[in-house]
Amino acid sequence: MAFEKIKSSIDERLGLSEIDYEIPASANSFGYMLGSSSLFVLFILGITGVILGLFYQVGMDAGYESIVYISSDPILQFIRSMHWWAANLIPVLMMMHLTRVIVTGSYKKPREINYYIGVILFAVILMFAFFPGMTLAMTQEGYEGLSESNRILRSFGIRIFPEGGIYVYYFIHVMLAPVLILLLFSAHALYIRIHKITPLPGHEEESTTGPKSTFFHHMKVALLYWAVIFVFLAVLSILMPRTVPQKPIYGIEVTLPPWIFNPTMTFETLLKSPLLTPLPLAFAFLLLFLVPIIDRDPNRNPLENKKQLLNIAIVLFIVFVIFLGLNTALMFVREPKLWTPATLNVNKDHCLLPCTTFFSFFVTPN
Amino acid sequence: MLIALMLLVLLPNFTRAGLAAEDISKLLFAPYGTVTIDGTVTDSEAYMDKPRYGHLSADVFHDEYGLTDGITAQLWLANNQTYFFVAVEYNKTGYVRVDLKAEGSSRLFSYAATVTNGSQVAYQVYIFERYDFTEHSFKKFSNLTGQVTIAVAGKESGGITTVEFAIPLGTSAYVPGDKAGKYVGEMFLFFSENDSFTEKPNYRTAEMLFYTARDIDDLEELEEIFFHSYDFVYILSWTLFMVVGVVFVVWYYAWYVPKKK
Repeated sequence: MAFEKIKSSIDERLGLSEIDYEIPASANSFGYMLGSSSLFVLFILGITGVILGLFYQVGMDAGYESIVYISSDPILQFIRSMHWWAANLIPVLMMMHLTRVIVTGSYKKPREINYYIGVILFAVILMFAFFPGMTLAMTQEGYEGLSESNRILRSFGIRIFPEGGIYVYYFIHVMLAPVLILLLFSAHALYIRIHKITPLPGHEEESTTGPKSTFFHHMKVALLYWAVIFVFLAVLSILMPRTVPQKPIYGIEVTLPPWIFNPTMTFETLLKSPLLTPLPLAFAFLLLFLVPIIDRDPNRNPLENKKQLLNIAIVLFIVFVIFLGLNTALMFVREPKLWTPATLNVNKDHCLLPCTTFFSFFVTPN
Repeated sequence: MLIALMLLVLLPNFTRAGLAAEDISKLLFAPYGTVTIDGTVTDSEAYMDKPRYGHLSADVFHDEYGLTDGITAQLWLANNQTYFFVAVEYNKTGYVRVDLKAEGSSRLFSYAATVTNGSQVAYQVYIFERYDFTEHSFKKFSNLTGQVTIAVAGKESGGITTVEFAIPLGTSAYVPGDKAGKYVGEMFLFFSENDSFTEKPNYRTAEMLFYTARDIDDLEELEEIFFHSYDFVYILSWTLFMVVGVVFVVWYYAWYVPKKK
């Protein structure tokens, strides 16, 4: 009784019951958890990022040295590994979330604006958080990423910044990106509240007469997914930690970019023009922007709506041709010898590092 | 109009070269003609007091007016045989072409650029050993041959000069015993555009690279770098992760759920 009184007292002041709105029961399934899972990974990135920020110094050499310091401490190394694995996971989750949105027709009236907010959020995470973050570590690939992006910027008429622009990227990564992500996510969440969660195609009756759930219950289910994601990232970080990087050699280009940006390299390799380098990703986002324009049919069942099937084909085109196709094509072009069984052995040795991080929790001196 | 335009383009460089007015007129109205090469291959080990990294050859290009700072091309080779440096300073409009061929590599590497007045271009060509995944070892070039072609004031004016060179790069220092001589190689090019080039030749970039060449002496360091660069498992696994995830979501909501209903 007293608990209920406290609860209602809090609710009166914070208005929590406003968030606990009714949702279709089918919204507690796997696909509807991808958005909140992405949010959770962003949360992990935020927390680990703040901790890493306490030990990071900006600069071409200073950046590298602080990463060496971070990697020399088992706890910090774990946090850095979590940050890295989470950063790699987020494009995957967001792409899956986007696919679910397209397959269930959640981009249709009245949710078009929220769809666009989500696409912009995806672009901001890739360009303002993922990419600058990769350069900050000042490993070989970080250095090359920096010079590559400077080359692209220069081809658009933007001059190189002092120290290769690392200060600018630092600002973008730790200040601009979080602010933009927070603003965009808030808008995204607000419009989800306003338009409510989209019912499954063919389950529209759930919004009126079907089985109901509440948003708080939805979040409880999400907690389970979050726990799985956390364990997944923690296991990866322990078994395959980020090792102490080698100091970059300035002036050479030997590394490939992060996987999500690898398709862009294909264009540069083939067309030899920095101006055209961002083309594949720009094209992918252009296609995503066309999605609500292509299909304005209110029918959300893809089996009955050909235009929606076309939108699904767009997503599949992006992941198969732009990402998988161009990624593999590029690697094949650059190094045909990679496609030998011996390569797999080499890389297996590289990836499956001994569990030094895990044991060092217990045996670290001092 | 055309002459005025030419003057506008060319004048800053003439004044920089300290030319008198008659020299300018001479240059404008006389064809460029020959560009001679005062090329001497030296093995100066005194450069920067770092005997291990002396430059192997130095070629100075003069034009017929004896402009010593006209065009210079310098070929540098670090003794650890991991990089090759070509610095070309232009005080005129011209182009440079660098062709390199390494023994053991089927690839002819060439780079050409047309550069307008007053800019400086430096090429650093890295002749790294590359990790041969099939052999699990580093392989290395043995000899480097090539040519540098430089043209002054456009190809058509006849001021084209080519210098050929052959540089022995030693044998496979890092490759043990039976794995030697099976090199599969490739070169990496670094193109450095020095925006703030002033009167004096500026080899700052070159020096920086010169020193970093020393740092990569360590085999382990090289190995780590090359491992990282071709870690295609990382790229493919995340890409496949995304592809499988997206395909699953499409299948689940577009076919499984509607069919189930």
